Amino acid sequence: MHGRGRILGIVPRSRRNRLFFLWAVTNVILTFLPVWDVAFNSSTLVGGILPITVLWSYAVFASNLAFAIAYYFGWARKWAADADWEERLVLDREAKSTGTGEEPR
Amino acid sequence: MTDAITLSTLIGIAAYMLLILYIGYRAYRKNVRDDMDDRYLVGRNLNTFVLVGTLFATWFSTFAFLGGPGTFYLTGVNWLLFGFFNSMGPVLILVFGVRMWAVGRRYGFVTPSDLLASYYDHSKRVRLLVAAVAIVVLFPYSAIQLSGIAKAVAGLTGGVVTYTTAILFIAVAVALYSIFGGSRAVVWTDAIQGFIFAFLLIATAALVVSWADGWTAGWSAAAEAQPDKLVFSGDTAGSYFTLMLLWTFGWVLTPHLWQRMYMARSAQTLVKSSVIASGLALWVVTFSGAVIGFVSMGLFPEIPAGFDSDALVPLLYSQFLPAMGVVLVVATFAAGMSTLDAQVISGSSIFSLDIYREYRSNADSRALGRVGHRFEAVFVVALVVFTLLPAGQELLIPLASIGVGMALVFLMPLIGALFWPRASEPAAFWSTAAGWAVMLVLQIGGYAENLPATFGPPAWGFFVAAAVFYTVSLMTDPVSKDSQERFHGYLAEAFPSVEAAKSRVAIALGNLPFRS
Repeated sequence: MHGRGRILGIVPRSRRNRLFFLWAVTNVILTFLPVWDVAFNSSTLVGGILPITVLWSYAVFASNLAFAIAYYFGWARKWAADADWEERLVLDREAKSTGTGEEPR
Repeated sequence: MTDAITLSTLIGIAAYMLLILYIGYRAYRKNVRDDMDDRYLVGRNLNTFVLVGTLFATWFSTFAFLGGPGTFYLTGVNWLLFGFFNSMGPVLILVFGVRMWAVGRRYGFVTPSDLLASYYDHSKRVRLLVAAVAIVVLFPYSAIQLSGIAKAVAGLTGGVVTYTTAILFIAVAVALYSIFGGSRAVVWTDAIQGFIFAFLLIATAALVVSWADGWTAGWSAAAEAQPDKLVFSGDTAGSYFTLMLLWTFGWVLTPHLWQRMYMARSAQTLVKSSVIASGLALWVVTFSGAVIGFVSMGLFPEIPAGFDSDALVPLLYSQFLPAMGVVLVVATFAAGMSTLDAQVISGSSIFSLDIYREYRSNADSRALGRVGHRFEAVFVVALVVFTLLPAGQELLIPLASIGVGMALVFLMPLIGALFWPRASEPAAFWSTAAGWAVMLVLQIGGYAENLPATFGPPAWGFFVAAAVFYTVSLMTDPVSKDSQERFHGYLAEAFPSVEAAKSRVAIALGNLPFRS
């Protein structure tokens, strides 16, 4: 069998990916705090900006975006650049081996 | 004055349709004939700007423009999940999308079935089942789009353009530019439609705040008028979870969005687009929608008789700025058509490549192209029939209610293909079949209400699919070593750890002739 993959295909094995995974799970739990009526579930306007429920929810949702930006700059940008580079290498290697120069499909 | 507004609305619709048809014609001239990649995936060459535009416009439909703000107005904070799934969904592209892109490009996948059937040892039954689910996901969803645009246009023009006329008019336009322009026409028009739609949402939110005498006054009036809508009741967690689950994963699992993963020019284009789409979706669509919906609670404390969620935005403009009617109609067209056309093209690719080709393996690209065109025509005609006949609408309602949710049955097989080499072909097939069956039975039979918690049919179907997937995988042999190597082996090579990538690139650079 090729490698072990993620645990049940979901939980990553590397430390950094586990950290990102934990962040995503925490984000979901924070989203549910007002939904479960545990905290931040009030119509009181905070500083004339937004009601607490709406403010808390959008702060958590904005952290999804922060998560995406951190993931992008921390890892995905480099990873994607490597992937594009690797793809060119693989295609180049295959084109040389087949002598066709055509992209395999 | 009213006649002038109606006339300008009709001129606006005509001008917009001419523009869209012109773009379709330009795309037709540029298309490569009988090339499936070009026809369905724009040659896998979308840059960041167009990819963001098409992700954005394809995902956000008439509902996001009209129904989204109206649902905030009607249900209050229970609709805040709209913000969660639209900020989190695009993030999933970083995890799933780039891998789907990589194997799609490597092995020439065009449809969701291509990827899943290929991994599960070229399974014919997986291909056909996934294709069947995909078409059932697309059809009611498309019909609701068509019906939604027509209702909105009929309402906004005061009946000058009737529901039936609008249906026929939109169907002909979508069929023409989808059949002749292919996916290129669709993504080009998406970029324009997405821009119009985004601009209108932001402008509407700003106008609503000004009509409410400012930000703080608007929110204070809303909190005073309907405070119960600004707090959760505490017993809606199940339905909140169900909708979050299906709409978040819908960003990568619905067939027309799945195919957009294949369209990116590079992995970098895709990851960059996912971050931009997440930001736009959160702030442009959902926050603007929330502002419009919540602040309107103070503007209209009493819900008008016969009001539905689509009626809020037209009501606002009719009360405060009637001259905006023409722009509103065009925006409604833009939002709805950009989703509808993508669904028509997606359905066409699934039918011709997954179903027709499975039985006519010797069909060449030209024959597949012809079958695809015919399918598009039949699909659009069927949409028209279903949206015009009351019996058809009755049949569509239960399916449309779980439309996107049905795509959740693809999640476990996809996880197996991308992340879990232990997955087996019987597990992929039976989990998809069982999950789909549970969703349909619960939805059509109305049994979900008798089950514990407030989870909806899509969540129950997904729980069953996941249980079946893991159980059957552990009881049966995993896919062949060849399939594992083609997917997990290739992905490990294409997306290596940073250290492995550095060493490999260093070796490769050492072998390149241009290195000094």
